[in-house]
Amino acid sequence: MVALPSSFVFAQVPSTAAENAFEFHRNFASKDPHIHPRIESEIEEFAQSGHLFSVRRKNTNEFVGLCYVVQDSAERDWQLGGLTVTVQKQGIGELLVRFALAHTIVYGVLLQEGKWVQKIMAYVRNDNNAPRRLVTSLGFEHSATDVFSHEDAPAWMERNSERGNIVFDEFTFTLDGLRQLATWFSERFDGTLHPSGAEAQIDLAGHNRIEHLTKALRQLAGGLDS
Amino acid sequence: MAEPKPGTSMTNVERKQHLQGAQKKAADAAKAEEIKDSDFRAILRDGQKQLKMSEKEFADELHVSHPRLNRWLHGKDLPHPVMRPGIVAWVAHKLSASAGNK
Repeated sequence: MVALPSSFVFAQVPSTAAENAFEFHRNFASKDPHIHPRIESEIEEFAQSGHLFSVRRKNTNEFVGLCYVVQDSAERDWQLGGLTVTVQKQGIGELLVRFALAHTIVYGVLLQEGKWVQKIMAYVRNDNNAPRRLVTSLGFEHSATDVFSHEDAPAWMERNSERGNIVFDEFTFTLDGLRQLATWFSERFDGTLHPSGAEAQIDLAGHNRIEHLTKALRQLAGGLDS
Repeated sequence: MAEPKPGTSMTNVERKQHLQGAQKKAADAAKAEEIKDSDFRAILRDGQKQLKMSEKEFADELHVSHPRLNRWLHGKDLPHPVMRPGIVAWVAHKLSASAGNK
């Protein structure tokens, strides 16, 4: 008998699931020195404020992916981070980041008159290549380099460093990235993951469906060119 | 539809009429081409009130965070216009279910 492909649900993490999300994050961050290990109250706050996004197995509700898009205060730029995925090579991380970006953009006001009023940034340590490839392929561009001396770096950064500077590359989501995001949801996303064919269900607020998210993105991207 | 005067309580019939009025307004808006910012906020606020839910309960059921709903209600932030009918349709659905159960 051929096993059916898995189904995954991509959604904002409700505050009621923050504890499980923290456990998932903690397990992952304890093994990967590139992940900023967040404390439980931070993950709770991300969930309560609607900035934490997850992928779960549809049949068991088990977390298989997590990321956040957060801001320090209402006026500040947004930061994409904490991407952790336990099921590899199915495109789950890529779709999760696309979903988190799209969700953040259409449910808030980050763009006005075709310009970012609040940017979305990502910070990637210079010895961490996997997310660097991902963010650049999704339309982020390198915008700065942050150097922390070994003495000044927060404790969590030092775990995998030799004595010396710790360097982070800053990436900024571009308007071209928004156009790519709109095109991808419109023309490439068919509700499944590739190459496995697993169902990728996207949950949105109210009675909204993926078609609405796609249309909103297309309108925003279309507004850039008009 | 007039609100009851302070100090008077609404009868079940009046409450059902209020629910139906709010439901119709939300259902009509969900079918419209465009929902104005002020109408969107008013429908959410009215829906929450008629359903007798706290902001937190309303946000949880709608599957948005409480701070996000609060920003929408107070005009600090709004979802993209394309996303509004789906949200308003959900409000209409909840009001309809609530009116039917009374």
